[in-house]
Amino acid sequence: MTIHHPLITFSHADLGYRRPVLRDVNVTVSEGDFLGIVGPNGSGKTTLLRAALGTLQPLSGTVTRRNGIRFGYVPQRQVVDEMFPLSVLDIVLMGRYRHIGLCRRPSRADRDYALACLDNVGIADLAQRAYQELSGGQKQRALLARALAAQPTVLVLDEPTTDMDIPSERSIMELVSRLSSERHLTVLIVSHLLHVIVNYANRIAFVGEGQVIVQDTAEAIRPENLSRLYGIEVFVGEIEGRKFVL
Amino acid sequence: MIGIFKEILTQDYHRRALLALILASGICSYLSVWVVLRRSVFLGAALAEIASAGVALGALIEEWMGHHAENPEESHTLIGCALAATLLGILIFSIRPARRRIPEEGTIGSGWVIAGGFGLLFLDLNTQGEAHIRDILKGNLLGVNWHDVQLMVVFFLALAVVHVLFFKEFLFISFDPETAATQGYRVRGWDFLLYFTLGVAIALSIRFVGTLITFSSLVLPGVTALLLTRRLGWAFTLSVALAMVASVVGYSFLERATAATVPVCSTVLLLLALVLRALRR
Repeated sequence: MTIHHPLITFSHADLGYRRPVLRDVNVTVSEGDFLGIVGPNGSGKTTLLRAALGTLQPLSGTVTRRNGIRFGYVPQRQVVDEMFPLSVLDIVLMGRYRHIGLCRRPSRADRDYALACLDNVGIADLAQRAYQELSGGQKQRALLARALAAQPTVLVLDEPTTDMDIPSERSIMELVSRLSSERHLTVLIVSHLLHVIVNYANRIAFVGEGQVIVQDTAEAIRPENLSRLYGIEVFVGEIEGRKFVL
Repeated sequence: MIGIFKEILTQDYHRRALLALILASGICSYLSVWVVLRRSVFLGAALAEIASAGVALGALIEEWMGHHAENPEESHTLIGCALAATLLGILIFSIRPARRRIPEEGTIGSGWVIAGGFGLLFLDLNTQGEAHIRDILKGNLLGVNWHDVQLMVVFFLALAVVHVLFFKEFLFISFDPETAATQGYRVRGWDFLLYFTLGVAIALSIRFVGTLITFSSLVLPGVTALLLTRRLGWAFTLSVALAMVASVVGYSFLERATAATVPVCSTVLLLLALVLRALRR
């Protein structure tokens, strides 16, 4: 039997900015988890994510992270500033900065590692291309490569498929799923679309009305459970082994 | 034209003035790429106004102390006051509550107006206020001595060292502060350091080359360079090169005010860049 050690533990944590957005959060993220965080817009998903990353301190309670934990963060690509005239490789190298340390420049080895990460996400040929010129899906892959360049233990993605068409959405999720199993990564992924993550996450955290409820995916997507959570009638089906939620 | 440059190179006061102009516009034009990319042009304007108020306060203090204009002590007081005022401005602007009631532009705009008001008040209280208004706006390039040039070299070299050492940190926190924070970077601290270098450059430049040249060097070369290239490294190099050209050409119009000719030359270069860009499409 495999023992999954806890990586991030929320204990009676109130999270928010001055006032709590989420109250009494008790969640444990363990090694190997693929945790989908879902909920309507403005429900506090990003607040939960920031607290997990340590960029937001809890108002009360505790959020503990295992020593030596390294995050690879993929922000919403809309928040990344496209005005900067940077190549894809320049951006992926940012993932190496923490390893490089202060007052030092990226070495050949850092460049090679960044190129390997680009290769891993399937866009090695775009390394010298300006980031501004990429399509939405390519940008997402570049940001994913940057997250991998940080050699993370936990991959954290904030709405990675926003504004994408269905094939691109599926391609990104397949890529995340492949990377998590190849690199033994724990994954935290935020989406306001339940159907995006039901086929990949082993657990789902529902965020809404100031609360966080975590369930195994099989339990979480039972129609009566979802109908109760969302307050509307929900239908869950399966076609060719892929679940969908209506 | 050759005759003009001969005159500039043979006259000691011209050499000092041109060197001071090149140093100030060089450092400001390098910083202009950061200012433009970080959308901090308004912040740059506010810091320039605050530094000007500092210079005006320094001049007033010197008058109260009975120092004669143009002496080295006065230069130190003016620079000290400009630096102190700019640092205070950066400290105030860097306060970022988790949830703002007032947009950032509101705070920066208030700082700009308040500094402008105080600057004018200090000059009004000064019996030589008229002359100081002219100096602050247009600079006093011909009054620059070798001691001033040395001071600029030392300060600007220090700024250059900070930027060489921490370039990648400045880049990361400017491009994607959210991700930088997840990698353990203290974004506010790095922001502060970057703006501090900006403040020092502005304060010193305003003292010697005036508000107009300082602010035009903080915006126009960066905009022009970013229109011409899609590589960040090239943008910095081009920006500095364009500012140098504008400074040298602008200064060569000896009959005209340098405070006007340098920004005009920068504007001509910007227009040429726009034409080039249109032709490339």
